[in-house]
Amino acid sequence: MTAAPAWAVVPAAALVLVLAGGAAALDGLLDPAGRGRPVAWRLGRPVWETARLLRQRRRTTVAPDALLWRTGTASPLVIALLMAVLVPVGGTAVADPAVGLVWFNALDVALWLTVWAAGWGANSAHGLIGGYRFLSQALAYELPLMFALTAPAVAAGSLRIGEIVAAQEQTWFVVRMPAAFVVFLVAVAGFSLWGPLSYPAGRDIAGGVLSEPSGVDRLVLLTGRYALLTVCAGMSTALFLGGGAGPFLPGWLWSLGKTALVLCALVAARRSMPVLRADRVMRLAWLVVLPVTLLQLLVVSVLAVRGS
Amino acid sequence: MVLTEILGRWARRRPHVLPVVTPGATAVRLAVEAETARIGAVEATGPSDADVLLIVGNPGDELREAIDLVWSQLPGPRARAGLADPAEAGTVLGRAVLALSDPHGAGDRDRGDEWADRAPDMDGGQDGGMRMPGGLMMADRGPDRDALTLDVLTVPLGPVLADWPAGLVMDLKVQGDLVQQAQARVVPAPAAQSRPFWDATGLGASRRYAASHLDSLGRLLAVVGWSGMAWRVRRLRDSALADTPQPVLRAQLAAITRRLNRSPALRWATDGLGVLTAGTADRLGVSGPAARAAAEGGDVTARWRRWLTETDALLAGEPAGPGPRGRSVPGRPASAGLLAAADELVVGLDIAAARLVLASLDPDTDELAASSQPAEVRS
Repeated sequence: MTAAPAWAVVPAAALVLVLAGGAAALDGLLDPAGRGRPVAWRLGRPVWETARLLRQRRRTTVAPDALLWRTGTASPLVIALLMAVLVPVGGTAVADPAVGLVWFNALDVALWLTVWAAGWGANSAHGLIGGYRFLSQALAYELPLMFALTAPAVAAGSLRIGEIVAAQEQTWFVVRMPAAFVVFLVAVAGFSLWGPLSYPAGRDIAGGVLSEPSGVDRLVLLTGRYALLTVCAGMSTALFLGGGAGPFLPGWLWSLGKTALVLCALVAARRSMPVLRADRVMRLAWLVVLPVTLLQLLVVSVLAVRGS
Repeated sequence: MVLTEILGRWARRRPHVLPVVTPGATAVRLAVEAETARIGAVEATGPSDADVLLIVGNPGDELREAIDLVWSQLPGPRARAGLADPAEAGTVLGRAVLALSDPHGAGDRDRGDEWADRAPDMDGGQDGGMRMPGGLMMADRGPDRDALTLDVLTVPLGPVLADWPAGLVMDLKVQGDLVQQAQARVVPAPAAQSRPFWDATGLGASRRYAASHLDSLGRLLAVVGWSGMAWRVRRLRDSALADTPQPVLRAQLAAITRRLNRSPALRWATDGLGVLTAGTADRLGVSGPAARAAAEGGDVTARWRRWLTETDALLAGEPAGPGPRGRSVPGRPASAGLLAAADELVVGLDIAAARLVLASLDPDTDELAASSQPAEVRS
């Protein structure tokens, strides 16, 4: 894989935002409200929403911790963009460091602090509860996610994303490690506060970490959420779906196509089931999902040792 | 200027509406919900998310005060409107949404967050003159379930909250998000009708009761976070109130029932939660579906299953009982028992579970407001 020059950061960020906008448009289309409206009207919902939030005034609360609050609000977008430098499109990524996978994992752990700060900083009861809900939810998904990330690294014998993609020339890793793939996607929903894992931003606590920000703050937070989904869909393509591998079409098109497919699946899952409450699914996460992920890792490790 | 205009026009294609419902205004609420759904507006989660504050029904003094506070928390551009007649929903909402893009009316860009600054200032003599940040009170302390001493916060839930019974206020004492004590009441409503909307008699009563259960179920599903299914149930409720033929309604209900029964995630959320035993139901005067569910486990799952079963029976033509929430006696409506049960059952639960328990009991605040009416007049 070739590393791109430094200016490639700009088109990479633009690509993330375009795909995130597409995801938001699909979500607008799937929203059952206003079914009678024309399709273009419903597809345009991210545009209307952006216009609305750009006009809206930023508000403040009683004695907020402004620094933590605003930093936390901006963090999902910033972290998504920091993750995006790793994601290869075809054979090219902005950067392909030797510890790429660790970089990705460290960034998703950074969300523990920043999403909590977004809830805590507003000094509101609902935001506070939302922030702590995120921590308890992270306790359920983070360990399975770490082991799910370990599986492709072990199979490829490298932490470099480029080498992980190259190792899938024969078979895509999703065939060898389906459990890791599913766990990865669920964890992505978890740290993107998405759908069934939007417990920290629950409607039952008036939006939780989303309950106080308005205007541009809210726009950045919501964009960050879609950007995280987008980037991680791209990451799942590289780690499990063979990256740009595929017949006839150029590699970059395969990368984008697979990413779009995963992204659509994540968006479509949004309204399809109840929110999983961390206290109720903790048992499931630790007694079922974690052992399954470890077993998966064992199988992958045995295959890797025998193969070498 | 042109850009501002374009942004304004785009913004009003996706307005976020925060309805504040007065007890006794269920008919108007249903019209507003249908209109919101029709124009593709978003039901806001709270004041920061809202453009339009819609006052549904005629609020009393206490609710009016709460509305004024919430109004001051809307970021703006904002619009405020009220209605008391279901037929007006379309015009009132349409006018409010149009007002949003009015550059002079709703803009008001220089407005500050007066509500954030108006907390009482605590400096001065009485407690040694310690100045609290923002003039806020320090939290009290109290023992918690792990024998630690933790902060106790007093947090009122309602009366303005998404998917929450109209005009209900639940004063909670919480440690973290754990409820230590709960006290629910309904804000007074001057114009509450003597007959609650759901409590019909005569030919249409069975359908009205069925729609009442579907309304409760829709709220429960919204609280559990299953927005797609909540949407389906609410549309079915609306068709049950319209003149959709019964076989169609029953077929749709059967499809919904299958989905709900097959959802493990729903069971994880509601199983074993808020168990109302037959004894407690008796003691608190709970009749109706919640009491009948006591024989089937008495948890939240048993209650939503009961709603499904009874809705199907009612749609099949079973005669309506004494009231959708159970038997009311003068001075003590059926929902009073449900409210008392909620106060007891939510203690020791976290807020998410507490809201689910309340939603699964779903006291009808129309009944409570109507019954408190004569006492108000006498005093």
